[in-house]
Amino acid sequence: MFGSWPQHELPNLTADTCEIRSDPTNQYNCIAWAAGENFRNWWPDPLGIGYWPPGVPRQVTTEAFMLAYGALGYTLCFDGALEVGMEKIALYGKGQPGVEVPTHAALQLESGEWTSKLGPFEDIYHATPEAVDGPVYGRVLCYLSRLRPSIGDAGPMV
Amino acid sequence: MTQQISITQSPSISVIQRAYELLLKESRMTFYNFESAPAMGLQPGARRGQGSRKKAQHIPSIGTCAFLFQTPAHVTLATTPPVNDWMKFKRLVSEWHCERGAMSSITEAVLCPAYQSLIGMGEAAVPFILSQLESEGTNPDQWFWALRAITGADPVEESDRGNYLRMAESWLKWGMTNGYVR
Repeated sequence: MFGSWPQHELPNLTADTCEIRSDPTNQYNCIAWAAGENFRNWWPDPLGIGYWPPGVPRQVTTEAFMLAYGALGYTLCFDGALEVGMEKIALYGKGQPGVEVPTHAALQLESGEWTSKLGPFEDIYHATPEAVDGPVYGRVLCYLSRLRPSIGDAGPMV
Repeated sequence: MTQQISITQSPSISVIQRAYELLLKESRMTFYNFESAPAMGLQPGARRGQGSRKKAQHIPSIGTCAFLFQTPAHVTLATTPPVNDWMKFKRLVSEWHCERGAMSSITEAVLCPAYQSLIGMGEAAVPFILSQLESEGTNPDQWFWALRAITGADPVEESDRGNYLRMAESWLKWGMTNGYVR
């Protein structure tokens, strides 16, 4: 079996479409990983179990997630095409159009590949955002971008 | 509290077998109530204290163990053996991992039926959860929602939210302070 995640949940992920880059771990989740962190879990749960940026509503809505990444300098952009000097995040969700619930985030690397943390399982590189589409994450809702931090600035831990 | 033992097809029958062997030897098990005790070689209507002085029953094999559990005289214990709660807890942990899958949402993960059932175990689950946290070492899982829901406590520093390692340390310290962990 390739990877430790349930294959039926991420049917597009195979040895040909992704590369495993870590061991399974609970220390961080996809939202944190896309924000450049690998030591805590980000999630706006009502009990305060997960970390959430101060001042951002603790709501599982697309708007709240956009505000959370907005605190790091991200703004809405048109698509996930590679742009030199720009760092992009793809935000995924499920549900009826207009009331989708965020489920996952992936970060675009300088190479144009994407990196995702798969829940409690491994983090991976994948060639396209659609590689992690499926029953558990749904589809890409929107793309966010910011100027890619230069070496020495606070940036992704990838 | 009484409990009726029933046949189990669990692959961990040898664990249960050994656990009951230990329980029958322990002086803490003080009350048995048998409807037809001769099948077990014990006197019917045993009162508090008598069971503990009976010779430990040898459970020689899985087949015999199943027969023991299947006797017409079901054994009713006055106290629920902790081993049953532990077995239930471990089963729920395993089921939760399957139900959670690759989801990242803390909210969705705690709504999984197995996690809810675990919370439903109430205070009995607290030492098990803390033991599970301790066993997970540097990779603690998200047991904090369950602990908060059951105990009402919140020993985690605000600055540690989301940092499962630090949160586990806080909860294990809380467990020691409150007598759940030695």
